[in-house]
Amino acid sequence: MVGDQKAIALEHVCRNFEVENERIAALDDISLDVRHGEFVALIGPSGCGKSTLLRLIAGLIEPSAGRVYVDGGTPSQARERRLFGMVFQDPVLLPWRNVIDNIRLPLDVVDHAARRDAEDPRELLDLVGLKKFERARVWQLSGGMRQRVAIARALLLRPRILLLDEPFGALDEITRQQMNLELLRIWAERRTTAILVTHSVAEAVFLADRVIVLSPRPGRIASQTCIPFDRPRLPELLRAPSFFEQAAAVSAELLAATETPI
Amino acid sequence: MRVAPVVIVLLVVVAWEVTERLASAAHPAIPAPLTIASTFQTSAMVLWLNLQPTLFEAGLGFLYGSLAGVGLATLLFAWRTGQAALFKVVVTIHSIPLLAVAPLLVIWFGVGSTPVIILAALACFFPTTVNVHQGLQAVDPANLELMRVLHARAPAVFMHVRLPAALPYLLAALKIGAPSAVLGATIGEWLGSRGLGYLMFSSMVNYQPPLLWATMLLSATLSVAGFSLFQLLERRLAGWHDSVRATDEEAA
Repeated sequence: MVGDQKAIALEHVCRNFEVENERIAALDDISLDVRHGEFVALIGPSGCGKSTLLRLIAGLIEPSAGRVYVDGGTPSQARERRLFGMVFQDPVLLPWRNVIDNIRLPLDVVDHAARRDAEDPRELLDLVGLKKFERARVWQLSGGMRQRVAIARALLLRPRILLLDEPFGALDEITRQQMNLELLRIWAERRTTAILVTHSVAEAVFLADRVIVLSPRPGRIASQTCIPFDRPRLPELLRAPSFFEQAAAVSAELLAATETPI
Repeated sequence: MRVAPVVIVLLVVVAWEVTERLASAAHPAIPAPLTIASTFQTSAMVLWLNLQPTLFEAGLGFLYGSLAGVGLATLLFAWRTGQAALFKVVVTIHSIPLLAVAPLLVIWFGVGSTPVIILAALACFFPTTVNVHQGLQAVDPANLELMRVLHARAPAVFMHVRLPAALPYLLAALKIGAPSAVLGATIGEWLGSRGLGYLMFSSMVNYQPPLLWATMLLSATLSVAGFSLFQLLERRLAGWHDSVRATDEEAA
């Protein structure tokens, strides 16, 4: 039963925004199924509604038309069950809390039932490689370290679905690659479903089982590419010719989607 | 760099003293610094006895005013529909001159501590209300989104996210409020029979400029002490805040 069920199912989802009394379509007729344990990357030009799609799945906004199912229920039911872990481009840590207390934050704001299943914050600290920085202050950390804290915090309540909204978008290229490897390692250990919004073709191809290219506004699914590489994926893959081929193929899809017919 | 203000003050005081001594007909209303200093000694008991009620009344008024400020700020924040109306009431209360309220309070409550405490509270509640209200909203929207994704309980979000975010705003307001409470109390004491405000009034009526100056200096010291106390607390408790860290780094 559970095996048949989709982690996430979007059925003909549209989302409009009202901007200065003008209706702007952000997403148009998106249908998408995500399997349990699948890693899906969403890529597309700026303003194509990638983040909007993520927020629809999390139930932070409602679709204008169509339906969103998460683990067979509505997004808000999924939130009540604490199925989601979310990481934003900005780590949004609380500056008055040190590293470990930031990871612990979810424990302070949820009810007893959710607290019981939580992971040990110290183990998560170890998992993201910040064991020595337990008591460090947020401003003493580099951008990459802050994002690790945010990832640990997102994992605390054992989410089944990770929503990653350009989590490494603000980091430099080298840190970004390191973080990608970290993320893969963590994801392989936890086997959660993951939806990653990104601007980087290489990041999408390296991390995901499936890369979905969205067209510019209104966002539509322009193409889907399954990424065949075996797991675990090692850094060597980044230099393999097959990797470049895949990346080139996705880049071509992205370019084709971005070109507007006249 | 930090010595400069002290040197300037010292130079002014010395120049003042010298001028007073050289001028053949020095104005008696402007006593020389040494005269004021000796007043502190000769009138030590009077000053001490009148400092106590001011300290008590300003302190209690400050406490009530600050609590009222935090309460009003929370109400303004939580009660969206009544926010605009309530804010107008708050601004109106703040706009009434303390000198106009003082006699009214004396008529209502009689001469004593009560009107003075109320005046001190009235003098200091406003910055706390405005600042804390602002502070409660000084939370990154992404943080609140995270709380929604976690299905967090609203009271817990208030306790763990909004209140701590408002702390630097509260301490900045208390820093401004402490001297205001002293001012409010002194105004109230003008109509009373004790306290630094009363002493200022009586030394005016009895024509005792040196005592008036000494009282003035004492009340200023009290205000500065209140300000410094909360500045210290700000560095201790809100050291994580950008504004506090920036000033610390400048000073270092």
